[in-house]
Amino acid sequence: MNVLDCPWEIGNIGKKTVEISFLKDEKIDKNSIVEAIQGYDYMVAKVPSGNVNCLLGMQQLGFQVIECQLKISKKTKNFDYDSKLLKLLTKDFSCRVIDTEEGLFSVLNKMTSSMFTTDRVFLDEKLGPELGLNRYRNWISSEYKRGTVLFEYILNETAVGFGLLRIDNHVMDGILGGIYEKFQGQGLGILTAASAFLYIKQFDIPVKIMHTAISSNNMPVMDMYDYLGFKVDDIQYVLVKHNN
Amino acid sequence: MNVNEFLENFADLFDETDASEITAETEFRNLDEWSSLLALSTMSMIDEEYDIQLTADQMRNAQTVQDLIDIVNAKA
Repeated sequence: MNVLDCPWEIGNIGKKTVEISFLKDEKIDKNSIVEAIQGYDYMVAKVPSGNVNCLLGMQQLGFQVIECQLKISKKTKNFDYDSKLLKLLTKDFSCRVIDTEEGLFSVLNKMTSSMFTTDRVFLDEKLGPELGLNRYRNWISSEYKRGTVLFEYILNETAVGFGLLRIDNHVMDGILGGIYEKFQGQGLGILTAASAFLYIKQFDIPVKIMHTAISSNNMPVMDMYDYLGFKVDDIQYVLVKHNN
Repeated sequence: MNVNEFLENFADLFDETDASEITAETEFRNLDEWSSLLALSTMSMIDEEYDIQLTADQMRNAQTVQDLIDIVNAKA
């Protein structure tokens, strides 16, 4: 069992937060957990799929399942840039790297809570959309400051969304992405899944594989990644508990 | 354009939704299965079958299947 104090969540959601994660074949030690979560307002637990002992044990301690997280991947060499649906969008598409504070603020200002309606903080009635949005804004800002690639999706010379991408040692992690509210409902969602590949193609960056994580609460996004041929590598249950 | 043929082409895009649920009056955004990927698939179908490229605004503003039929008819 790993216990992670998350002090950054005080700034994000105003709650003293702890995250507990388990290994695949670990047995639950309830006394250790009760001790570990003392003094926290908001507790998150991540249990690998198949570890029913920990899943049921955490529920007995009052934790509730809020989502499953699917870790998925796609090898770059297998990505189909010529897929029929993607080609509808990519002829007028480019990526614009955000490399100024002004650009960062512009992205943050265009973000709205409607972009993240399946996020577990958004969906949690004790937290909600505004805290969900605040958390994402803070997350993007801190990632940007540590050098994570932030870029906008440019379609017909208009910024329609953004992506956040970490590239290290020929491996990329798709951290976050979204279509701005004004451009939702137009079939652009596939860009959140495909833009990382379009980014490395545009800037000729050698990458072997992309990893990302999606929520079981977001079936449309799962459909998009399925269409693009991503493979599910791992699934974990996410449970939460509030004090008060 | 043959309306029944359009309805059939549109219904073919869905996996779970029964074709009988798709009529000209159907507000397709309210269908459980509707998604961004289906919006893009609709644009692709109209491009392939009718050689008409929907603009993003047209796709966004369309609410019923009849709205799509009207766009295709106007451009045909």
